[in-house]
Amino acid sequence: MSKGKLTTIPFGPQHPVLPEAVQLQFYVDEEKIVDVLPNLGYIHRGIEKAAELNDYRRNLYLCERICGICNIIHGQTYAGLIEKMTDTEIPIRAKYLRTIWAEVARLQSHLLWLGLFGEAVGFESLFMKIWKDRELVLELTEATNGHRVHLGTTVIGGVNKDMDGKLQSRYLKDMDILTKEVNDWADVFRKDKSFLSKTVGMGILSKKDAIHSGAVGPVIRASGIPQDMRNNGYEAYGELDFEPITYDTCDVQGRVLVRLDETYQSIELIKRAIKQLPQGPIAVKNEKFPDGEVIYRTEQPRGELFYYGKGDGSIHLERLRIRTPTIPNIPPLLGMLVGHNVADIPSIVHSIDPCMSCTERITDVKEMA
Amino acid sequence: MIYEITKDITYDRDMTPETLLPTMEDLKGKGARFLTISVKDVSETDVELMYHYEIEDHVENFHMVVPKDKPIQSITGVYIAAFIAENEAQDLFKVTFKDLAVDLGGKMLKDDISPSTLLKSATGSQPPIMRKLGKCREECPAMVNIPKYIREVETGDPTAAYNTILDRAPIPAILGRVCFAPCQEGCRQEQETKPIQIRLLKRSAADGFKELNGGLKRDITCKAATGKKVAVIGGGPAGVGAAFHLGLLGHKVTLYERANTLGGAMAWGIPKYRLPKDVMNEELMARLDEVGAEVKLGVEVEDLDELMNGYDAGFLAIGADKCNSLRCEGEDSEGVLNFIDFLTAVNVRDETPDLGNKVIVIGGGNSAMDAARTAKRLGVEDVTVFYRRTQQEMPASLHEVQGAMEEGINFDFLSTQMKITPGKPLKVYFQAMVPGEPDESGRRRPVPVEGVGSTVEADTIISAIGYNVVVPASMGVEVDRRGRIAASETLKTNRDKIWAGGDAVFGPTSVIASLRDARIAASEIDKYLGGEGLDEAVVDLSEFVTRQVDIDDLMGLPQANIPELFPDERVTSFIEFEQCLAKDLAVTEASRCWRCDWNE
Repeated sequence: MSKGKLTTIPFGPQHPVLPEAVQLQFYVDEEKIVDVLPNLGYIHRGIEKAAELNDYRRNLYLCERICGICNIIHGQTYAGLIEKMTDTEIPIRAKYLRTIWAEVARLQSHLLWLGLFGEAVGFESLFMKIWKDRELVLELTEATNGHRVHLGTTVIGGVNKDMDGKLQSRYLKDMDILTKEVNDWADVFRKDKSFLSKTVGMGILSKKDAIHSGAVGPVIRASGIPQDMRNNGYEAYGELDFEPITYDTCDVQGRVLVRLDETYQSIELIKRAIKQLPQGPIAVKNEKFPDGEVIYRTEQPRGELFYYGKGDGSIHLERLRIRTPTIPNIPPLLGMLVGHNVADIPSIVHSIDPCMSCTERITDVKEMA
Repeated sequence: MIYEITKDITYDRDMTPETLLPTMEDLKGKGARFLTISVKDVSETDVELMYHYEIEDHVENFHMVVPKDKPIQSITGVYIAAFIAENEAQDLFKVTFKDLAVDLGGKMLKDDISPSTLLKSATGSQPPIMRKLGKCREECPAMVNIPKYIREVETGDPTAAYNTILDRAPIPAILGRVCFAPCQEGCRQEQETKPIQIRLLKRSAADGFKELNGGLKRDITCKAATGKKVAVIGGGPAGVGAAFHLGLLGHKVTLYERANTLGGAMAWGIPKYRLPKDVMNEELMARLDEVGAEVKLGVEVEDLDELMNGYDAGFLAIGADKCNSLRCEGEDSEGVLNFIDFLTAVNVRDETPDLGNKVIVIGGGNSAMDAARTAKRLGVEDVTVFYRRTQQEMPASLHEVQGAMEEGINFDFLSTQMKITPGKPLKVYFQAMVPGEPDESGRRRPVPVEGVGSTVEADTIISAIGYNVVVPASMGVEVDRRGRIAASETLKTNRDKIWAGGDAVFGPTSVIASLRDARIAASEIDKYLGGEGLDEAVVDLSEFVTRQVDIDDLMGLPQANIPELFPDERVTSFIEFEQCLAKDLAVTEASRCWRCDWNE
């Protein structure tokens, strides 16, 4: 179709509905979206290059600053990568602690997203309610790690903070409170008529397309594929016995329900890990320099996080390649949008939970390196 | 389902650029999920590409080493998801991918100099129905499609630009040299004192066309002959323009010119150093030849009634050639010339009048500048222009005045001639003036200072205080109180079958205004003769503008200088001193256009 007769609508990089620095150019025929072009790269700062110049131990802090929400998982993934390269086996208690904090990060990220999504489709009080409940989780992280957002508790070879019995019981108690709070509003996502009218049947991504376009995380799981990196049993996930949550509705509602159910799942995993938390040291000393090539994949709240590292036995890495989960979710997003109306853009774009600072690695390396 | 974390990865397959796509097709067939592409520099000239896939429960890696300088085959035809990774590699590793589905051209990652959005270049084109006129076009009397031909000059297509100008102003080569370019005053960049040099671009188009085609004559087809005959009286721009348009419409045109050369006021009034006569004659004859018009030079029409017996319609473009009087005592003395006689002698008859050593030119218009600069070229040492107002109020264009000053011509402002005493040398008494209250033209009216003045001696005095129209009574057309032909809005006179235009109707104006009249009259005459008239559409419906420019990018570009000979070179002869813009400079100048015709 000729683009001469179409209207062009820029969405972003500054837009009230989408506080992420990405631009989508919509070509619309009256109200129908005919084509979408993404325009990325607004906040790229060159972290991969900086990682080649830094001491490999400093890279940990650099990687933790790739993303605000899931910084702990970036740190754990980088640490895991280096531990594989240096054949370091970390203590079992450290594995459990890492798992707990990763799930706490997933929990607060999903709560954040559920609130934002509610606001994007016009449920502002829902947004306020969910973000109030999220405060409970953030206070918990502050009590454990000393910070609300940037935790910094991962070190290569383990963790640097422990959790005493008092804190463990506080975790268990707060998780119960949170379960009750989530029960309060969970039915809005499942049953509210005007909510469902904005999600059911929107942004269809078939099972076949989900694989071919490379979708990850809740997006691919909502298309019926149990793709969850926690299945590979890294950290303590192998001992926690859980099944990935999938829906086969292939639409926005499926993605909402995957995240809602994962909220319950994370609460359950945290409680289970706290109860099973083994005794022992929390870190081992890492003596070697990284050597060899390793691919390390973990599950972020947004999906699969991919790290590729190559070391040559020196203090510097030869190459560090990071692929965050928003990148593989953008091509499926473009396909999901075509054919829908302009008014559906917010709910569909939000359904992949875009995180551009992850995608483009926001931290300013001039300060870091 | 168990997913493995790969340690010490082995490459499942070494690929070559030839086996890349078959491998990808194979993977897609197996239902593999694309993870990402990792790129790594292996040497100064080579990069290693690693393709990571997930098949069922494990990662498979494929790699190849390719040279950086050759385009790499994109896999987006098989896996569209790879477009971000490939664009990122283009940005970070300076490689190129061919057949990339969404190619951001190495501009995916933004830096300080990136445009804030790629939207403008991606908007496609704007339907012409949405086009505005543009400030330059609004100012142009003939409404030449200036934005369009500027774009055509920018794309390096002088033929298209020449034809675009021709549509409304049939003599681009002449206009490129002499037009006083009201468009440049309309240009929005005038506010920054650097308007686009539109006149030079027009000349660049015309000279470029001549270079390409070996002449200015084009090979065109006129409409089928209508069998109607039209007489055009006057061979100036209005007459030739009307003859051209009428000929295009299929009428048989005969052009009568009193003098022995075409051009009218352009021939006698515009000095050779500005408009070489061979250029003028070539272009005028080219237009008349293209449409097969008959030209009768040296024929004075004495009786219009008798002439019109053989024609179906007539167009009067007899111009203006009566000099205004100095209105002072002794203006008939020997040695006092009017500028029309003086310029005609030099320009048309190639005479070299003896002016003496000291010449006074009275007047402040472009014709005064022409007279003064012509006198200077004839070898007069001391040429002084006297004008009764100040320099700000001069009707002459600033560029002309500056040029005259550079050539060593003196100026004396706020002086009015009161009395000329005959003799050798002549003596002129000039009354001193001061600027007073603004008059109806908005300029400050000069007020005499009683008792203050000076007497100046001169060998020759040239009066150049304007000229006007004299319509011979034999024409039998109604004239207005100023002696000009009275014509309606459609340029129809009170006589049957007779239209009029140019200086004869509006008084001394400009070449470009005469061309407007020529087009209107030709269209009206055609309608009278049963045709449909000329196309009145202002916007060119065939042109799609394909992009909007980013004005911020253009702000820094400088205005092109007018290429001219140095003053000491040019005052010694009548050689044309203004040169054509070099091709690359013309393209740069055209690229500065803000495209005000784009409907935002």
